[in-house]
Amino acid sequence: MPNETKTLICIVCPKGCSVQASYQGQELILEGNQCPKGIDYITQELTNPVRMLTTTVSLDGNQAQRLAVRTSGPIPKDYLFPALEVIKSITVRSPVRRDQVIIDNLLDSGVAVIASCDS
Amino acid sequence: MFDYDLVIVGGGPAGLAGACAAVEEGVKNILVLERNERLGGILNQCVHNGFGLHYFGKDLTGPEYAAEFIARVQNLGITCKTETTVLDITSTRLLTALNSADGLRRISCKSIILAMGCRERAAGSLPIRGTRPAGVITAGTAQKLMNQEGCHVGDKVVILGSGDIGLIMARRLVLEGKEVVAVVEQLPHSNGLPRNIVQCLNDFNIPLLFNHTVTEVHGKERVEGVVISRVAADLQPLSGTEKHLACDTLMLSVGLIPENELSKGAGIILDKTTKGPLVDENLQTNVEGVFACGNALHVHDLVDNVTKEGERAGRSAAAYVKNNYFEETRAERDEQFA
Repeated sequence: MPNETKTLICIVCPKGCSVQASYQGQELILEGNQCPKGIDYITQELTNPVRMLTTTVSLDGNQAQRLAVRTSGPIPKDYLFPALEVIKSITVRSPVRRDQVIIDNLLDSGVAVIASCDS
Repeated sequence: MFDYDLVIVGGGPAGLAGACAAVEEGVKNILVLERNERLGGILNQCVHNGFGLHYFGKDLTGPEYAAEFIARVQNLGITCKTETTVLDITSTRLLTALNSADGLRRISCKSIILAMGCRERAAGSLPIRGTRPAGVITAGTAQKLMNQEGCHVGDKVVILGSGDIGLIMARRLVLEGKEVVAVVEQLPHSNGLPRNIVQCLNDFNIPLLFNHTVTEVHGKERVEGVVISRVAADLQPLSGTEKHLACDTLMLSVGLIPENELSKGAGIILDKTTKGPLVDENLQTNVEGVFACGNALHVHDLVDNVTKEGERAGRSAAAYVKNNYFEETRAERDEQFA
């Protein structure tokens, strides 16, 4: 691993800590994170960046009736646009309850797309 | 006699938190008035996540955060009227409200909490020359139209202002398959959250131009492009630095202002900096028994802080009601009502 220091912004919470990450051998050394969540985030970001996806879908085929949806957990960053294609392709029928699964195991990620609110 | 112990103007996160806190302090007769069809305020159009990290320790979307408080309000049996607009509040806490079910009502309140949120600064207040084509829209309006009404606001967008709303909408547009040409910011830095620069701009390689502003809009029926200029330290555009950016939409994220029509009408003194009411350490305005919280008081970055402030206002209003401080203004009120 190259021995340079990378500066990243942790995006886990609104604090947005600026974190310096460098490798000493195999070990990742971090400086600047104000909580342990930053360690997990930076480690993930440097190996396999993931993101939460939030968007809206049409209800009952009506473009003007929107349902806010979200992924139940983060998915690989590269999956964002393919995921949006999958989400756009399905028809959601009302009524919908918050947390109802809209798409199970999105793109084999193990993460679901769920309703963000009651319809 | 008073119709209610406490009337809360606005059923968004500030108002709902205030209502719950007041009930928990023993105030019984509470009314929440909300002009939209549903409670939740601005959260209903904020489909993205990042809400509640401090207050709940969870990463919630706007609607999910709102749902938590709507459930609490329902469980506490607090009366909420939606599609109800407050037209006027007097300095003796006589409130005029309008809805189609009850018509026009005059409501006398022992105490009032102002929690009606804020408005966006619009194009009219900006020194942008040129034509007035369709396609100039504020970011919050675009967010509502896209997320709640499925409207198509534009294909190729220049965003003026790098505050959080502009950044969030940059990502939203890209996720909907639109092109964001650039985010243009007059200051040398953004006042949006650093995490939003990363997850809304960097993630999608959207250019962020500091020290620039939009000086002209071009287009006949529809925006065809904008002219941007570099600005000096005093934020004045520098001639000779003009650049044309082709686009069909100019999205404005240039500031939020507390909703203050009702405040002014009640004789409430506003703070010159925040443009919201001047309040004491109990969040009480200069008008006895009228309190303010949330974006109506001053613009917040985090809804978690709005909730905490709403709770403070609820507790203050409860203390005011329980101590019967309102008695001294009863004579004034009776005189006005007669």
